[in-house]
Amino acid sequence: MLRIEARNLIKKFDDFIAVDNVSLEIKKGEIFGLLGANGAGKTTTIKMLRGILQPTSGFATIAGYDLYKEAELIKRKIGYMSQKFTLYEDLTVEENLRFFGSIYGLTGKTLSNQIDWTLTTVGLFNEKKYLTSSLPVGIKQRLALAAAVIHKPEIIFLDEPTSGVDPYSRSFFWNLINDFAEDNAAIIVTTHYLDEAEYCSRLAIMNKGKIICEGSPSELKKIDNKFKFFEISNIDFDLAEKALSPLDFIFDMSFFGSKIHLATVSSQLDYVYLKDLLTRLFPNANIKLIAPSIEDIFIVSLKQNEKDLRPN
Amino acid sequence: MNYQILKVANLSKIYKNKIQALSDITFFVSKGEIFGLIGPDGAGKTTLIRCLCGALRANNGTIEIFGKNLYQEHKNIIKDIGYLSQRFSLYGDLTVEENIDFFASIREIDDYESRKKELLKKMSLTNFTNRLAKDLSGGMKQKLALICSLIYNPKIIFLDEPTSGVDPISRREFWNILSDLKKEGITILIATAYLDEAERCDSILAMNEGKTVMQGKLIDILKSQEFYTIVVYADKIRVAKNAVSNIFSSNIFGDKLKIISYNTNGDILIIEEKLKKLDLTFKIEIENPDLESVFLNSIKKKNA
Repeated sequence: MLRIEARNLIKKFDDFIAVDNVSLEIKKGEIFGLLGANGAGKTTTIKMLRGILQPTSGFATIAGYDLYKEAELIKRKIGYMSQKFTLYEDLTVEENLRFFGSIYGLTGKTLSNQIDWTLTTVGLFNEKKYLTSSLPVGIKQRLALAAAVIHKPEIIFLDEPTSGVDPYSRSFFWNLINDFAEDNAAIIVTTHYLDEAEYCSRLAIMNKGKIICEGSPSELKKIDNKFKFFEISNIDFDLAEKALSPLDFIFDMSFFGSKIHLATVSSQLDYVYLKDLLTRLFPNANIKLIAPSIEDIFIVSLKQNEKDLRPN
Repeated sequence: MNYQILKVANLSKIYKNKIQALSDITFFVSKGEIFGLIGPDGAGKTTLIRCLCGALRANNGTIEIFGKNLYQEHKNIIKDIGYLSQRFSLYGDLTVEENIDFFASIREIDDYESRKKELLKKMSLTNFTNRLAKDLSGGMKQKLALICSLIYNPKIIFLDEPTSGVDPISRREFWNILSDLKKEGITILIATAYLDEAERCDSILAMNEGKTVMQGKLIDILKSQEFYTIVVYADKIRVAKNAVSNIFSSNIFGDKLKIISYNTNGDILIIEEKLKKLDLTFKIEIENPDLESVFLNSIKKKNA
């Protein structure tokens, strides 16, 4: 069941095209990640999908409602949590939820039931009388999530939800998100922290207003067919840079502490060739083929896109 | 070569509101390495860095930099330390070049023209010397702030979360610059909340709630783990999770399931049997532990 169906969305600010012909289909149960550098068009896209910014052209149905005619109804069906948790510090946990619930039109018994349900779901029932300002970051983040889901939205938007949170709270948070997805919701995550992207079941990478690639993490890692990724250790950086940078089959080179990561265009060489070359130049170097991280994929796709855009 | 440029022993800091920001922190940094100070918001990273530059006095413990006691020889030591705070302390109404000149004048250095040129080139800011700092992009501000902390040739620099809020491309560029500085022989201590950045450091100190969670050379930490991560790829990942949930605690990552295992061969047999019963299409791989799972595991152990 499609929760979001967007076709050819375009948003222009004067002459600047912030979102350029973006189409998206997001199903219930999915955790969809929208990735991109600053200014790629992520935020503008999400604002349109939340019904708070009118597209210049294109159409979209969000939770079954038309983006142009029924924007107000859309707002009741979605929840939004940003990296700057918009909580009231001088209210208690329960008072915050009561406030956010009432914004969504919940009252009386329904509101009280929903407060109890969210408190139990996110594991904050025993903390409900605590002042929000006294809570550690990881707990605040859970409360922010509770405030975003108090009205049982069909679509949950998360904007860099776990940046700066400790690994334990983070893993707890993503387990909750998986439960919401399994339950009924479609989840959309926007982030430029690529370790958050690892939690998504499907990803799209944006650059200059366009979606440049899309797929499940495993599908995206099949970029492997075109590129191969290597890690080299025990090597002099200066010499390595001088020796490797003139080679055209090396697409990207990055320094990781005491290691070098290489992305190579695989049609032009194989592992044996590169290994042979490096062993002759640097007898002590260790070289191994590695699976690319989401960050490797991101950087390489973007670089490829920039190359394609450049007129020859 | 393995000279310990920074030595911290039993450092504790209690703020006036009785919050214990640091408790009994001990570590050392070797000359020329990239040392990562890792931990979530509120772990005590900023407090520690402020103590290391002498901006904040610890309640207990000692800090030795270049073999000298920080509190006894503060003036001598501080001239060789660079510090980049979380909110880059740039002057928006000054140009790029004026900012650099200003920071050079505070440190009372004169002969820095060639250093300035070299740094501007390294950070790709040569064409922006006349632009006001407030008109720079986030990534450029970060690089300018780094120049300002490097202009007086410090031997060690402390960077407090320089990459937070910075996009992946600028972040990668920044790390490439750090590798360059390392080549110059500058020792770098960098605080970050991101574990993938920790994997780029030579050594780390991981903190949580003011305490040490783990520390040492990254290679040693990863090698010394006794567990592996079993990764299950399946078409219905939540069904797979539920199938093994009464035996293993597992986490879903997008289209895969990760399970920490101390006995991979035996555990894989059990998982395979469970999943075959359900007629799932699946694939199982074994991964070496990454820092995130090590960190999670050590917190779990401490809580247990």
